Amino acid sequence: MNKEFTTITERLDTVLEQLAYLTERQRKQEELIAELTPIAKLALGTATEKLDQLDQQGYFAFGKELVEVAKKVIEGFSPQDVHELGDAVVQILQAVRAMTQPAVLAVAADASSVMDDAAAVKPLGMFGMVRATRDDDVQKGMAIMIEVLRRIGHGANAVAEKSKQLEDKKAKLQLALGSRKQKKPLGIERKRLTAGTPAAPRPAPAAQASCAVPAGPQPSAAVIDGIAYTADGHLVDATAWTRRLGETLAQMQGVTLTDAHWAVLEAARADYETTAVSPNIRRLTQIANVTTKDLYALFPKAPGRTIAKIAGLPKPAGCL
Amino acid sequence: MKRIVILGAGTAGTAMANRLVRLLPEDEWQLILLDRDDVHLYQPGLLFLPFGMYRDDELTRSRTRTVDPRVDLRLTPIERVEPDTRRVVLGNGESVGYDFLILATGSRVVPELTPGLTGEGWRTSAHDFYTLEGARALRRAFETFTGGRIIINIAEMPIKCPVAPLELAFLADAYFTQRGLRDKVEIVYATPLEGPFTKPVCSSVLGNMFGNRNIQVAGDFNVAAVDGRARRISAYDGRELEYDLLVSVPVHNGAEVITKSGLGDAGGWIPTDKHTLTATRLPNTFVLGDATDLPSSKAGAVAHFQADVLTENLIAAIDDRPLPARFDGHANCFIETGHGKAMLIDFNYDTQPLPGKFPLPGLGPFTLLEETAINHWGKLAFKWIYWNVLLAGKELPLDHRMLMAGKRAV
Repeated sequence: MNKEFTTITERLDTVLEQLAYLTERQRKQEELIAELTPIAKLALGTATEKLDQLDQQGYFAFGKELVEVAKKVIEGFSPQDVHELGDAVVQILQAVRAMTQPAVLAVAADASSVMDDAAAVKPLGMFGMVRATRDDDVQKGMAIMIEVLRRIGHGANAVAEKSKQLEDKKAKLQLALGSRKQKKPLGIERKRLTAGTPAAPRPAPAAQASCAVPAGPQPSAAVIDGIAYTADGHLVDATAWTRRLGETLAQMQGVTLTDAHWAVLEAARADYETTAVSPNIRRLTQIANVTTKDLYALFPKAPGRTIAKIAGLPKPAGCL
Repeated sequence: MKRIVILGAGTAGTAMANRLVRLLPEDEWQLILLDRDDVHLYQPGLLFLPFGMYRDDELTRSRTRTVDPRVDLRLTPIERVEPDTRRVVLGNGESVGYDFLILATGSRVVPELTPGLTGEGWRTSAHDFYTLEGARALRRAFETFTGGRIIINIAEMPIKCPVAPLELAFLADAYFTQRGLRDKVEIVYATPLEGPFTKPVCSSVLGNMFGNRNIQVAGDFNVAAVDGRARRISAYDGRELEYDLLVSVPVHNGAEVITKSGLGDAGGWIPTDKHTLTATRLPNTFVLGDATDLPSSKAGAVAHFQADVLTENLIAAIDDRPLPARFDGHANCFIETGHGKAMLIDFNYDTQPLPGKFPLPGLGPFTLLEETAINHWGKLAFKWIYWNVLLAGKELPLDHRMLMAGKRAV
């Protein structure tokens, strides 16, 4: 009996120990989260700032364009092309290095500077040409140009020869495997980009087309007589409103203002001053003490919007 | 012992209570949170319920479970608030005095304010989805719907979660497309506003979202009455639309107790300082969440950002310092667009929703004003965040102010 009791208490002790361990672990985890949250907040804040700088500097827009470029490269070239290009990269770099040696660049810069004083250079006739060849520098230049031409010609011949061999090989192969040519394409062929077709212009985001305005719920689209209006004809600044302006705005809405109209308009303006929200129909009936029917009789077309427009208040809006 | 009383254990009140109880010394401050029942509803989920994307039981939890045990949560109806004597009178006649009062009484739908809406056909051919019962009934109606015209009608502004009706339209389009019925279903969006999009950038960026989905729009449609028998909805300007299924977003008002206590305007919204969140006409009182009369959106994110501001200001008020924090009207929300995608918007009093990335400029992972799958995942993940982080009053690594970082001013 006593022994059993001891066993039970021992077990209980173990369970308690385990519970304590779990609680402690739980506490630690919660503490960690509590610790990390402000850190995450800070990190996020910093990251937001840094990324915003990059965004402002146009890195992301640039990156996006690079992706577009990569897309075109991928569509226009096969992996084999890229591989071959890889082999040629060293040669390309050598060529670029040779062309960008300071001495070469200086010659190029000097030569192109001719364009700056092109006006001073006189046109040259046949005899002028002959005369010019007496000049040592011109003779040297001509010799270099001819050497360049010779090497280009040599290179072009080599390329032509190589492609002719390739064509011959292909022709022999086709002769041998004549039937295969009739087979259906495998469907993995990539469409080649033809140099002549320009890429379709990317459509500008629709937003840019219709409103190039900075942030703000009420961008001004037009300024008439020193008063700014939004694109849909509401005042940008409700405080710029006067009774005379109200009359003009009413005329534009096809409404002839009576005392009954004015009572509603005044009530709407007073309400806007306290709430900063253009009143809806129900609110108008309450603040101006009229029925909805009255409102529609006074302002037949969309009374809420029409009243806001005439009273110089913003358009009743949702959050989109 | 001083006392802070919070009215309403919804999103705003619960988060605020859980936050304050950790900040205020227990031996100096008593924190009382009042609500009439023990059911906390995850309101963002109501949008998904009609489409069978959530189960009912995922959307409710006991308020007791969501509130820190150190908060004195009392579940009892509230009779009225007496600001002059600084006390709240409960339904059982007891009264609770306060040093500071936080009104987080929220908003409610009042379908009775639209003549005929709750008459014949209510919850069979005419529905709301802003209540659990309404969303459930709408699910049954959608499940058995085989074709005809669905009208989604906003009775009047303001409403809770102003994008929800748009989302419902998009999700309905996707839902009936997936069921292969879309060509038999006509969807009409009737709004008292000029159209579905009223801000310039949204209008131009999103303007064709309705046309692309073949959802028709009836703008400037101020509903005057519903005829449930003829299944017809009429506007004050004489327009009439017939429906087979009406999804109404009914008129919203503030809580009854606010109107009964004479603390609100005609709609029961409490006049509130736009930036400090103090009740403009009541001493030692702050307003939080949907209950305000502010032009900010009535949404959970707004309540969350306001709670950040209010915490700072309440502590300052306790210390008798000037109120330091200013609410800027910041709101953000996901907009479900169907087919596993969603948009995100982030805006405030002065800045309309703009395209860009959120929260990290250039990286996101969320994309503003654009439909992406990641945005949709964010919306889904938000449920866990709501129950475990937001309601618990824990800090989220987000600034309560709206930042321009990552946004493109178009």
